Amino acid sequence: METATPLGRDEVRLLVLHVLTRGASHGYAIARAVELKSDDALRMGEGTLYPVLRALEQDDLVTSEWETAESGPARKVYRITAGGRAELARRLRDWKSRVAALGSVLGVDALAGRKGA
Amino acid sequence: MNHANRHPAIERFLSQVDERLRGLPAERRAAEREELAQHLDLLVVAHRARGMDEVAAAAAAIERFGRAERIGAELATAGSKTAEYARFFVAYAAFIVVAFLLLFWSLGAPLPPHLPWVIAVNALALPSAFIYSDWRKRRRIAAKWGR
Repeated sequence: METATPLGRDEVRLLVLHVLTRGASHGYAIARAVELKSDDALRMGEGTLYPVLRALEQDDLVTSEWETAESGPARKVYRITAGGRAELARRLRDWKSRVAALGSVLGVDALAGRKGA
Repeated sequence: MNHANRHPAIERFLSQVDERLRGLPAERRAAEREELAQHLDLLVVAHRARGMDEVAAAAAAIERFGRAERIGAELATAGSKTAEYARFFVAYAAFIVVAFLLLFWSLGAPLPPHLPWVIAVNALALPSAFIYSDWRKRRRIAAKWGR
């Protein structure tokens, strides 16, 4: 893909929560995970990522902690909370409904062949 | 990578972000700077591994963050309920003052002496109730999810 699509704040929020369901992670790894998984089609701007992480922390949807590895500096690691998982499930339902509705109007099954979340 | 061997453009970017974080407690301010610095360092390493020179790698890393002033301002207020409440409070109070003044002006009635009290009560009561209700809701959610 020639140009990566920049993500909006709500999309970043959804994707951050999703990435964190795979395990604790730090900001750089979260951004790279989204780009890798989307084959570089999606670009998570770091200027949006960190304010979104702060908002998620404030809403108790993720927690963070500075962790010291055996080598290298301490890193700030984020974890999803139970509330974050519930929020992710709700947002995924909303997103699927929206995509399905758009698909109906456009005459395509946008979610066909996708794995369930 | 530490600040001594970090590219000056990145140090400058971090200082510009830091400038916007002046209102935060020193510990949080340092943590924000450190987290961004680590992220930028990792981006530079990745860009260098793809063959970019040091200057281009630093520029590409900074470009991903956008304007330093913007991210600094966002981090200074992101997740801050106090800032959100303050904005709501000020906007609502301004609305009430203007609404009352317009009302009396349109009626052509003289301003009653107790008007400042009426305005103050109206401007304070609803936002206070809203903020209290929001705070209670957040406490309930935190308790429900064990946080």
